Amino acid sequence: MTDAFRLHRHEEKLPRGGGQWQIETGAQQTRFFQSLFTTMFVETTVVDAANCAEVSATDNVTRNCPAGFLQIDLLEFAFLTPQLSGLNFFSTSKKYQLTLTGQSGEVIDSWIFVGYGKSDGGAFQAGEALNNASVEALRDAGARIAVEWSKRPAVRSWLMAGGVESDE
Amino acid sequence: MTRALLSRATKSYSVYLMVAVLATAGCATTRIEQSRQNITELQSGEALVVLGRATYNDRETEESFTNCLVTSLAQGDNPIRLVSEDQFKNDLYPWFEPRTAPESAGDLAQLFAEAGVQAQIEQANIRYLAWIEGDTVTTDKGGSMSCAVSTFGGGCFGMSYWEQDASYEASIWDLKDLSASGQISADANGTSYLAGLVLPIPILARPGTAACKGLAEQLKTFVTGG
Repeated sequence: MTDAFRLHRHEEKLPRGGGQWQIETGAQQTRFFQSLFTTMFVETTVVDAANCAEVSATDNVTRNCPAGFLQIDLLEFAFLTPQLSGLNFFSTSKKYQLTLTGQSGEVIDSWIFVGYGKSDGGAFQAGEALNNASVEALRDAGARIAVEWSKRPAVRSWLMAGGVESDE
Repeated sequence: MTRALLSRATKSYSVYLMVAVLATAGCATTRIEQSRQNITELQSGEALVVLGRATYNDRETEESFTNCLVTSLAQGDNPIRLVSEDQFKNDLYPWFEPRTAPESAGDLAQLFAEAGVQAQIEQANIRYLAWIEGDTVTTDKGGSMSCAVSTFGGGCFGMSYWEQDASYEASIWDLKDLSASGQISADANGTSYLAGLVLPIPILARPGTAACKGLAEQLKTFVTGG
Protein backbone atom coordinates (compact mmCIF):
# COMPACT_ATOMS: atom_id res chain seq x y z
CA MET A 1 0.00 0.00 0.00
CA THR A 2 1.40 3.30 -1.02
CA ASP A 3 1.44 6.41 1.13
CA ALA A 4 -1.14 7.91 -1.21
CA PHE A 5 -3.46 4.99 -0.34
CA ARG A 6 -2.76 5.05 3.39
CA LEU A 7 -3.16 8.80 3.70
CA HIS A 8 -5.94 9.31 1.17
CA ARG A 9 -8.26 12.23 1.83
CA HIS A 10 -10.99 13.39 -0.50
CA GLU A 11 -11.85 17.07 -0.65
CA GLU A 12 -14.69 18.42 -2.76
CA LYS A 13 -16.88 21.50 -2.91
CA LEU A 14 -20.34 20.55 -4.07
CA PRO A 15 -22.33 22.84 -6.38
CA ARG A 16 -25.62 24.53 -5.55
CA GLY A 17 -24.68 25.24 -1.95
CA GLY A 18 -23.83 21.63 -1.22
CA GLY A 19 -20.99 22.67 1.04
CA GLN A 20 -17.31 21.79 1.36
CA TRP A 21 -16.60 18.15 2.19
CA GLN A 22 -13.43 16.53 3.53
CA ILE A 23 -13.51 12.78 3.79
CA GLU A 24 -10.66 10.83 5.37
CA THR A 25 -10.60 7.38 3.82
CA GLY A 26 -6.92 6.38 4.10
CA ALA A 27 -6.82 4.93 7.61
CA GLN A 28 -10.15 3.16 7.24
CA GLN A 29 -9.31 1.42 3.96
CA THR A 30 -5.78 0.54 5.09
CA ARG A 31 -7.09 -1.26 8.17
CA PHE A 32 -9.81 -2.97 6.20
CA PHE A 33 -7.68 -4.35 3.39
CA GLN A 34 -4.88 -5.40 5.72
CA SER A 35 -7.43 -7.40 7.69
CA LEU A 36 -8.97 -8.84 4.51
CA PHE A 37 -5.69 -9.95 2.96
CA THR A 38 -4.49 -11.41 6.26
CA THR A 39 -7.62 -13.59 6.25
CA MET A 40 -7.32 -14.57 2.58
CA PHE A 41 -3.70 -15.76 2.67
CA VAL A 42 -1.77 -18.11 4.95
CA GLU A 43 0.89 -15.47 5.52
CA THR A 44 1.13 -11.81 4.56
CA THR A 45 3.87 -9.24 5.04
CA VAL A 46 3.67 -5.52 4.34
CA VAL A 47 6.59 -4.44 2.13
CA ASP A 48 7.65 -1.21 0.47
CA ALA A 49 8.57 -2.69 -2.90
CA ALA A 50 7.94 -5.85 -4.91
CA ASN A 51 11.59 -6.46 -5.67
CA CYS A 52 12.61 -9.24 -3.29
CA ALA A 53 14.00 -11.50 -6.04
CA GLU A 54 15.88 -8.62 -7.64
CA VAL A 55 17.44 -7.58 -4.35
CA SER A 56 18.42 -11.17 -3.59
CA ALA A 57 20.15 -11.46 -6.96
CA THR A 58 21.96 -8.16 -6.45
CA ASP A 59 23.09 -8.99 -2.91
CA ASN A 60 23.77 -12.59 -3.80
CA VAL A 61 21.88 -13.50 -0.63
CA THR A 62 19.21 -16.18 -0.58
CA ARG A 63 15.95 -14.80 0.74
CA ASN A 64 12.65 -16.51 1.29
CA CYS A 65 10.71 -14.31 -1.12
CA PRO A 66 6.92 -14.43 -1.07
CA ALA A 67 5.01 -16.19 -3.83
CA GLY A 68 3.70 -12.88 -5.07
CA PHE A 69 2.99 -9.26 -4.32
CA LEU A 70 -0.39 -7.59 -4.11
CA GLN A 71 -0.82 -3.84 -4.46
CA ILE A 72 -4.12 -2.04 -4.08
CA ASP A 73 -4.63 1.54 -5.25
CA LEU A 74 -7.63 3.83 -4.94
CA LEU A 75 -8.20 5.29 -8.39
CA GLU A 76 -11.38 7.27 -7.78
CA PHE A 77 -13.67 8.25 -4.93
CA ALA A 78 -17.09 9.76 -5.56
CA PHE A 79 -20.14 10.48 -3.46
CA LEU A 80 -23.64 11.86 -3.81
CA THR A 81 -25.77 13.66 -1.25
CA PRO A 82 -29.59 13.68 -1.20
CA GLN A 83 -29.50 17.33 -2.28
CA LEU A 84 -27.62 16.41 -5.45
CA SER A 85 -29.26 13.13 -6.33
CA GLY A 86 -32.84 13.94 -5.32
CA LEU A 87 -32.99 10.61 -3.49
CA ASN A 88 -33.21 10.11 0.26
CA PHE A 89 -29.80 8.59 0.88
CA PHE A 90 -26.07 9.23 0.66
CA SER A 91 -24.05 7.05 -1.68
CA THR A 92 -20.36 6.52 -2.35
CA SER A 93 -18.39 4.64 -4.96
CA LYS A 94 -14.74 3.67 -4.75
CA LYS A 95 -12.79 2.50 -7.78
CA TYR A 96 -9.81 0.32 -6.88
CA GLN A 97 -7.02 -1.35 -8.84
CA LEU A 98 -5.65 -4.63 -7.50
CA THR A 99 -2.34 -5.66 -9.07
CA LEU A 100 -0.74 -9.06 -8.57
CA THR A 101 2.95 -9.38 -9.42
CA GLY A 102 5.09 -12.50 -9.30
CA GLN A 103 8.33 -13.12 -7.41
CA SER A 104 10.36 -11.55 -10.19
CA GLY A 105 8.16 -8.46 -10.34
CA GLU A 106 6.25 -9.40 -13.51
CA VAL A 107 2.59 -8.34 -13.53
CA ILE A 108 0.39 -11.42 -13.41
CA ASP A 109 -2.99 -9.71 -13.15
CA SER A 110 -4.36 -6.19 -12.87
CA TRP A 111 -8.01 -5.74 -11.97
CA ILE A 112 -10.04 -2.54 -11.77
CA PHE A 113 -13.31 -2.78 -9.88
CA VAL A 114 -15.79 -0.58 -8.03
CA GLY A 115 -17.28 -0.88 -4.56
CA TYR A 116 -20.60 0.86 -3.94
CA GLY A 117 -22.37 1.81 -0.75
CA LYS A 118 -25.42 3.77 0.38
CA SER A 119 -26.91 4.91 3.65
CA ASP A 120 -30.04 6.75 4.78
CA GLY A 121 -29.41 10.06 6.41
CA GLY A 122 -31.36 13.00 7.75
CA ALA A 123 -30.39 16.61 7.44
CA PHE A 124 -28.55 16.54 10.77
CA GLN A 125 -26.83 13.20 10.29
CA ALA A 126 -25.02 13.88 7.03
CA GLY A 127 -21.55 13.09 8.33
CA GLU A 128 -22.61 9.82 9.90
CA ALA A 129 -24.59 8.76 6.82
CA LEU A 130 -21.69 9.51 4.50
CA ASN A 131 -19.33 7.57 6.75
CA ASN A 132 -21.73 4.61 6.75
CA ALA A 133 -21.99 4.74 2.97
CA SER A 134 -18.19 4.83 2.74
CA VAL A 135 -17.93 1.77 4.96
CA GLU A 136 -20.54 -0.04 2.86
CA ALA A 137 -18.56 0.76 -0.30
CA LEU A 138 -15.43 -0.61 1.34
CA ARG A 139 -17.21 -3.80 2.37
CA ASP A 140 -18.60 -4.16 -1.15
CA ALA A 141 -15.13 -3.80 -2.64
CA GLY A 142 -13.79 -6.34 -0.16
CA ALA A 143 -16.60 -8.75 -0.99
CA ARG A 144 -15.73 -8.51 -4.68
CA ILE A 145 -12.11 -9.33 -3.92
CA ALA A 146 -13.03 -12.23 -1.65
CA VAL A 147 -15.53 -13.76 -4.09
CA GLU A 148 -14.36 -12.79 -7.58
CA TRP A 149 -10.60 -12.24 -7.50
CA SER A 150 -9.51 -15.86 -7.19
CA LYS A 151 -11.71 -16.80 -10.16
CA ARG A 152 -9.82 -14.56 -12.57
CA PRO A 153 -7.93 -16.87 -14.98
CA ALA A 154 -4.43 -15.51 -14.37
CA VAL A 155 -4.95 -15.43 -10.62
CA ARG A 156 -6.35 -18.96 -10.59
CA SER A 157 -3.32 -20.21 -12.54
CA TRP A 158 -0.98 -18.49 -10.08
CA LEU A 159 -2.83 -19.96 -7.10
CA MET A 160 -2.80 -23.47 -8.57
CA ALA A 161 0.90 -23.13 -9.36
CA GLY A 162 1.37 -22.33 -5.68
CA GLY A 163 -0.48 -25.48 -4.62
CA VAL A 164 -3.89 -23.96 -3.86
CA GLU A 165 -6.70 -26.28 -4.94
CA SER A 166 -9.56 -24.87 -6.99
CA ASP A 167 -13.08 -24.91 -5.46
CA GLU A 168 -14.68 -25.45 -8.88
CA MET B 1 -65.27 39.19 36.01
CA THR B 2 -67.64 37.86 33.32
CA ARG B 3 -64.97 38.42 30.68
CA ALA B 4 -62.40 36.47 32.76
CA LEU B 5 -64.85 33.58 33.19
CA LEU B 6 -65.61 33.60 29.47
CA SER B 7 -61.87 33.57 28.65
CA ARG B 8 -61.29 30.65 31.03
CA ALA B 9 -64.21 28.72 29.54
CA THR B 10 -62.93 29.33 26.02
CA LYS B 11 -59.48 28.05 26.98
CA SER B 12 -60.98 24.92 28.59
CA TYR B 13 -63.10 24.30 25.49
CA SER B 14 -59.98 24.59 23.30
CA VAL B 15 -58.16 22.04 25.46
CA TYR B 16 -61.10 19.60 25.32
CA LEU B 17 -61.31 20.07 21.55
CA MET B 18 -57.57 19.41 21.23
CA VAL B 19 -57.84 16.22 23.32
CA ALA B 20 -60.80 15.05 21.21
CA VAL B 21 -58.87 15.63 18.00
CA LEU B 22 -55.82 13.81 19.42
CA ALA B 23 -57.99 10.90 20.45
CA THR B 24 -59.66 10.43 17.09
CA ALA B 25 -57.00 11.50 14.62
CA GLY B 26 -53.46 10.15 14.17
CA CYS B 27 -54.46 6.47 14.14
CA ALA B 28 -52.98 3.86 11.82
CA THR B 29 -54.84 0.86 10.50
CA THR B 30 -52.80 -2.34 10.16
CA ARG B 31 -53.35 -5.57 8.30
CA ILE B 32 -51.17 -8.65 8.91
CA GLU B 33 -51.19 -11.68 6.63
CA GLN B 34 -49.29 -14.93 7.00
CA SER B 35 -48.38 -17.73 4.66
CA ARG B 36 -46.81 -20.87 6.17
CA GLN B 37 -44.93 -23.49 4.16
CA ASN B 38 -43.33 -25.54 6.95
CA ILE B 39 -43.68 -26.22 10.63
CA THR B 40 -41.50 -23.92 12.70
CA GLU B 41 -40.46 -24.20 16.30
CA LEU B 42 -37.58 -22.31 17.82
CA GLN B 43 -35.96 -24.64 20.35
CA SER B 44 -34.35 -23.53 23.57
CA GLY B 45 -31.03 -21.84 22.83
CA GLU B 46 -31.71 -21.36 19.13
CA ALA B 47 -31.58 -17.87 17.70
CA LEU B 48 -33.23 -15.77 15.05
CA VAL B 49 -31.47 -13.21 12.83
CA VAL B 50 -33.42 -10.29 11.39
CA LEU B 51 -31.87 -8.82 8.23
CA GLY B 52 -33.02 -5.77 6.29
CA ARG B 53 -32.87 -6.39 2.57
CA ALA B 54 -30.53 -3.83 0.99
CA THR B 55 -30.41 -3.23 -2.74
CA TYR B 56 -28.76 -0.73 -5.01
CA ASN B 57 -31.97 1.00 -6.09
CA ASP B 58 -33.54 3.89 -4.24
CA ARG B 59 -35.70 1.70 -2.01
CA GLU B 60 -34.33 -0.26 0.91
CA THR B 61 -35.67 -1.31 4.26
CA GLU B 62 -35.02 1.40 6.82
CA GLU B 63 -32.60 0.54 9.59
CA SER B 64 -35.02 2.11 12.05
CA PHE B 65 -37.66 -0.46 11.10
CA THR B 66 -35.43 -3.48 11.62
CA ASN B 67 -34.22 -1.96 14.90
CA CYS B 68 -37.84 -1.57 15.99
CA LEU B 69 -38.52 -5.21 15.06
CA VAL B 70 -35.50 -6.47 16.98
CA THR B 71 -36.45 -4.45 20.06
CA SER B 72 -40.02 -5.77 19.99
CA LEU B 73 -38.91 -9.38 19.49
CA ALA B 74 -36.49 -9.24 22.40
CA GLN B 75 -39.15 -7.94 24.81
CA GLY B 76 -42.43 -9.23 26.15
CA ASP B 77 -43.53 -12.47 27.72
CA ASN B 78 -41.68 -14.78 25.38
CA PRO B 79 -38.53 -12.94 24.27
CA ILE B 80 -36.61 -14.51 21.42
CA ARG B 81 -32.85 -14.93 21.39
CA LEU B 82 -31.54 -12.75 18.59
CA VAL B 83 -28.17 -12.37 16.88
CA SER B 84 -27.64 -8.79 15.75
CA GLU B 85 -27.57 -8.04 12.05
CA ASP B 86 -24.15 -6.40 12.24
CA GLN B 87 -22.65 -9.31 14.16
CA PHE B 88 -24.14 -11.84 11.75
CA LYS B 89 -22.92 -9.99 8.65
CA ASN B 90 -19.44 -9.58 10.10
CA ASP B 91 -19.19 -13.25 11.10
CA LEU B 92 -20.43 -14.42 7.70
CA TYR B 93 -18.58 -11.81 5.63
CA PRO B 94 -18.66 -11.61 2.59
CA TRP B 95 -21.77 -13.76 2.10
CA PHE B 96 -24.49 -11.38 3.29
CA GLU B 97 -23.47 -8.12 1.64
CA PRO B 98 -25.99 -6.50 -0.76
CA ARG B 99 -24.02 -7.88 -3.72
CA THR B 100 -23.55 -11.41 -2.42
CA ALA B 101 -26.55 -12.18 -0.19
CA PRO B 102 -28.71 -15.17 -1.22
CA GLU B 103 -31.86 -14.04 -2.97
CA SER B 104 -34.02 -17.03 -2.13
CA ALA B 105 -34.02 -20.00 0.20
CA GLY B 106 -33.05 -22.12 -2.80
CA ASP B 107 -29.61 -20.47 -2.70
CA LEU B 108 -28.93 -21.64 0.86
CA ALA B 109 -27.51 -25.01 -0.17
CA GLN B 110 -24.93 -23.29 -2.39
CA LEU B 111 -24.13 -20.81 0.40
CA PHE B 112 -23.60 -23.58 2.94
CA ALA B 113 -21.11 -25.20 0.57
CA GLU B 114 -18.80 -22.21 1.04
CA ALA B 115 -16.00 -22.79 3.51
CA GLY B 116 -16.82 -21.87 7.07
CA VAL B 117 -20.44 -20.80 6.58
CA GLN B 118 -22.16 -23.85 8.07
CA ALA B 119 -19.70 -24.02 10.95
CA GLN B 120 -20.23 -20.37 11.80
CA ILE B 121 -24.01 -20.69 11.77
CA GLU B 122 -23.92 -23.86 13.87
CA GLN B 123 -21.56 -22.25 16.35
CA ALA B 124 -23.95 -19.33 16.84
CA ASN B 125 -26.90 -21.79 16.93
CA ILE B 126 -28.92 -19.73 14.49
CA ARG B 127 -32.08 -21.54 13.40
CA TYR B 128 -34.10 -18.96 11.49
CA LEU B 129 -33.31 -16.02 9.30
CA ALA B 130 -35.95 -13.35 8.66
CA TRP B 131 -35.42 -11.12 5.62
CA ILE B 132 -37.36 -7.88 5.92
CA GLU B 133 -38.30 -6.01 2.76
CA GLY B 134 -40.40 -2.92 2.31
CA ASP B 135 -40.57 0.70 3.30
CA THR B 136 -42.81 3.55 4.40
CA VAL B 137 -43.78 6.10 1.76
CA THR B 138 -45.79 9.29 1.81
CA THR B 139 -48.71 8.84 -0.55
CA ASP B 140 -50.47 12.18 -0.15
CA LYS B 141 -49.96 15.51 1.54
CA GLY B 142 -51.59 18.89 1.61
CA GLY B 143 -52.73 21.86 3.60
CA SER B 144 -50.59 24.79 4.61
CA MET B 145 -48.95 26.13 7.71
CA SER B 146 -47.33 29.45 8.27
CA CYS B 147 -45.32 30.59 11.24
CA ALA B 148 -44.30 34.13 12.05
CA VAL B 149 -42.25 35.77 14.75
CA SER B 150 -42.33 39.46 15.60
CA THR B 151 -41.35 41.67 18.47
CA PHE B 152 -44.88 41.31 19.83
CA GLY B 153 -44.78 37.54 19.78
CA GLY B 154 -45.17 34.73 17.33
CA GLY B 155 -47.05 31.63 16.41
CA CYS B 156 -48.12 29.20 13.77
CA PHE B 157 -51.46 29.04 12.03
CA GLY B 158 -52.91 26.57 9.62
CA MET B 159 -53.21 22.85 9.15
CA SER B 160 -51.17 20.45 7.07
CA TYR B 161 -51.47 16.70 6.68
CA TRP B 162 -49.61 13.82 5.15
CA GLU B 163 -50.74 10.27 4.52
CA GLN B 164 -48.25 7.43 4.79
CA ASP B 165 -48.35 3.82 3.74
CA ALA B 166 -46.06 1.28 5.41
CA SER B 167 -45.74 -2.03 3.61
CA TYR B 168 -43.31 -4.71 4.78
CA GLU B 169 -42.81 -8.41 4.29
CA ALA B 170 -40.78 -10.90 6.30
CA SER B 171 -39.50 -14.04 4.57
CA ILE B 172 -38.49 -16.67 7.10
CA TRP B 173 -35.82 -19.20 6.16
CA ASP B 174 -34.99 -22.32 8.14
CA LEU B 175 -31.19 -22.68 8.27
CA LYS B 176 -31.42 -26.26 9.55
CA ASP B 177 -33.58 -27.56 6.71
CA LEU B 178 -32.25 -24.98 4.19
CA SER B 179 -35.78 -24.12 3.15
CA ALA B 180 -38.34 -21.34 3.20
CA SER B 181 -40.69 -21.58 6.19
CA GLY B 182 -43.17 -18.87 5.26
CA GLN B 183 -43.91 -15.19 4.76
CA ILE B 184 -45.59 -12.55 6.89
CA SER B 185 -46.75 -9.25 5.44
CA ALA B 186 -47.69 -6.12 7.36
CA ASP B 187 -49.49 -3.18 5.77
CA ALA B 188 -50.35 -0.06 7.72
CA ASN B 189 -51.52 3.35 6.68
CA GLY B 190 -52.47 6.48 8.49
CA THR B 191 -52.74 10.21 8.19
CA SER B 192 -50.73 12.58 10.34
CA TYR B 193 -51.62 16.21 10.98
CA LEU B 194 -49.76 19.31 11.99
CA ALA B 195 -52.16 21.84 13.46
CA GLY B 196 -51.08 25.39 13.99
CA LEU B 197 -52.81 26.79 17.04
CA VAL B 198 -50.22 29.39 17.90
CA LEU B 199 -47.97 26.47 18.79
CA PRO B 200 -47.55 23.73 16.15
CA ILE B 201 -49.31 20.63 17.43
CA PRO B 202 -48.34 17.37 15.71
CA ILE B 203 -50.83 14.54 15.60
CA LEU B 204 -48.82 11.62 14.26
CA ALA B 205 -50.24 8.37 12.94
CA ARG B 206 -46.93 6.47 12.76
CA PRO B 207 -47.91 3.63 10.38
CA GLY B 208 -44.30 2.44 10.32
CA THR B 209 -44.37 1.81 14.05
CA ALA B 210 -47.77 0.13 13.78
CA ALA B 211 -46.47 -2.17 11.04
CA CYS B 212 -43.40 -2.96 13.13
CA LYS B 213 -45.40 -3.92 16.22
CA GLY B 214 -47.83 -6.03 14.22
CA LEU B 215 -45.08 -7.78 12.27
CA ALA B 216 -43.00 -8.43 15.39
CA GLU B 217 -45.92 -9.99 17.23
CA GLN B 218 -46.80 -12.25 14.31
CA LEU B 219 -43.16 -13.17 13.67
CA LYS B 220 -42.65 -14.18 17.28
CA THR B 221 -45.73 -16.40 17.13
CA PHE B 222 -44.60 -17.85 13.80
CA VAL B 223 -41.09 -18.93 14.77
CA THR B 224 -42.10 -20.27 18.18
CA GLY B 225 -44.63 -22.52 16.53
CA GLY B 226 -47.70 -20.74 17.81
